[in-house]
Amino acid sequence: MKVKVKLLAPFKFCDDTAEAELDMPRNSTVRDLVSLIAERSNIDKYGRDQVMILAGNKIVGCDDLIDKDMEAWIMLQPMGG
Amino acid sequence: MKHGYTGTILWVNLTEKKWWEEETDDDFASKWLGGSGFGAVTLARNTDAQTDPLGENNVLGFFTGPLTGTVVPSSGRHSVVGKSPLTGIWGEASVGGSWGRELKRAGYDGIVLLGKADSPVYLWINEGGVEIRDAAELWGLDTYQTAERLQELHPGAQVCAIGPAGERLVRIAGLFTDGKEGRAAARCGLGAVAGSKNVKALAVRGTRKPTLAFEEELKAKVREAVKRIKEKTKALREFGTPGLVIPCEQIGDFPVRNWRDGKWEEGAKSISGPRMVETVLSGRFHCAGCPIGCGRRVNITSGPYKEVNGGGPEYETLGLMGGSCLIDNLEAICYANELCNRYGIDTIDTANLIAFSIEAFERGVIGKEETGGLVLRWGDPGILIELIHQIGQNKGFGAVLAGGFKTLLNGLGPEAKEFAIHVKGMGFPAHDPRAYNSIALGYATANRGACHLEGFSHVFERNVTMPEFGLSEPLDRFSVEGKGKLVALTQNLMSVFDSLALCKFLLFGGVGIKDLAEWVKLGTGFDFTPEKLMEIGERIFNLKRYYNVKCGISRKDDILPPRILEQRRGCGGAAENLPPLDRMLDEYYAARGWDEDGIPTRETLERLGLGDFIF
Repeated sequence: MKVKVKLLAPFKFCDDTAEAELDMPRNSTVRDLVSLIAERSNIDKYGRDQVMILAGNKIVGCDDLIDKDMEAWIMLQPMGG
Repeated sequence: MKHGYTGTILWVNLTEKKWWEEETDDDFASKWLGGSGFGAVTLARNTDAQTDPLGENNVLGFFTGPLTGTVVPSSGRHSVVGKSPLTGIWGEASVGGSWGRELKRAGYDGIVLLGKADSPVYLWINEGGVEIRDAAELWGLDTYQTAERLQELHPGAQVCAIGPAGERLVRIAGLFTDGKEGRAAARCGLGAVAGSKNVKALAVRGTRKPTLAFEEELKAKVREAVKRIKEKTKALREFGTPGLVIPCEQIGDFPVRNWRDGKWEEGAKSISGPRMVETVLSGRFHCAGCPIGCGRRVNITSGPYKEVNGGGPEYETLGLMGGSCLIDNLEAICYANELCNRYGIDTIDTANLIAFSIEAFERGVIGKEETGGLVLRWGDPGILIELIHQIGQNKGFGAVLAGGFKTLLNGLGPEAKEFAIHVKGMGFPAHDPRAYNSIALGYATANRGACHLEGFSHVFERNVTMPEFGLSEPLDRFSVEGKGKLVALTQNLMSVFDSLALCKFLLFGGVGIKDLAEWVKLGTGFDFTPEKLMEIGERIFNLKRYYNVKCGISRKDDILPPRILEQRRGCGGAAENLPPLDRMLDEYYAARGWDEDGIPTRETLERLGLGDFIF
């Protein structure tokens, strides 16, 4: 299953790009996606629990299943007032 | 008196140049906690619906919490309270920094100012009392200069000061601490209350440390928590609250063009936390006892904004000066932020009023005649800066804005109300209620007007959980059912934070009500439980509401501007959502034990031990 991923600053992939299309097995969860992205990006610098994922207008949780044709925008979890 | 507290409130009558100390007892402390809770009682007992906020019968109170100045993390805050000249109702501002800790060390849980000095004064509060000193040489100085001068006179003192705006009774003026770091008790216009009393500053110095009931046990608990907090808030430390800019813009939570549009992606990037780190950031700072360190220092050494050297803009300032005024120049916003700090005005209301004015000018609701010849345009840093000068000096068109939305709208037609983005006279913080339904309800029902911090409920629709209250997963931000109960619950919880005078950012470090109950129990020796704390939070919130009801507030005032309730933005991360406020209000009032008009019932007040306040 293809998932389009876009990383927002300060996140980026190791090759300095911000967008990629990743292959995920069926029934993968958002947590699996984040693990895959972590291998190829700098998101672990702040910790995976400090990442927020937006799919369309929905803030998705780690245990949510990856939908077909999902577009996931990966950003820092908003912290602060 | 139990541990943690000093057990003493300092009262100062400025008219009679007298001061005295009042002891607080265990019953009082265990019923009201401290900070905001002590403030609620003080205001309810000493002012009423007839009190003129800028008259000498208003009070101005400063209150710490039982854990202020202890080893407990992020405990350097204090609450400032008074009847608000901006809204005419309950007024409060919570502020970080080091001033609260110093007050505690000087031997006081709080200070209450009464009356009015006959000429400008400052208070020098040292261990064992206060001196009311002449402030003629300070009058006219900005907040940074005032702090610097008082620290020359009183080495080691912490200073809380007003700027020229507070002196000139600007109704969006605040009180500022920590000098150039610019920590602000900005909201509700309480700087104007200080100005109306001719009080320029309060300089405080002390060395006493509060005693703790179970010091070693508390230290052990705190060590464990600090480790967790540091680990979970790395991003907050790295980027500060400006780290919110990009994600908030993406999810449709960011104000764009006076809350009209839903997207501003490139602009947001150019004023974001990461961009700040790459460009103007010169350092980070911590409030007293804070392991997070979200404060930003910025330094600009060349170009048109080169004087900037001090505390940097927070998310709210970036959102409202940036997104809402369409200014994508980070250096210009840093400059405007510092100007506001120096004049001593609230960046949130300032930027909301300016964004509103630009739209009003664009629509022809106001023209050059009203603006004194200024042409108001989106994205123009020159206009932003000129209007800040005018507001700070209470002159020109700025003098009209200096009165806040209520005054401003009195002179304009009904069309203006549609895009004047405020509740009860106070402008919105930089979070759009169309992005989180609970924010809509929180703004409408917050006791001080549009405020995201009285409820802070949206973090539970995003990334924070509270399993102890059945919230094991974040809630859907666009759902409706249950939001009334959520907001009532989180408002009670935030009342606990504000009364303990602890920073709410601890929530991001995984701190919950169980931790708070444990810390305050080990610190004070009171047998506090999570349930007991939440009951106190509910009591405090209801007392403030009842105060407002006596000032004329009811359901008719728990509203949001038509733009927020009726206009979809059509793009961005919350393009189509409109919050169904009325439905949520019904559930909220029921959860609160208020009648359908938003009035706390006698039964509710008596259940919460507020019978003495029914009048």
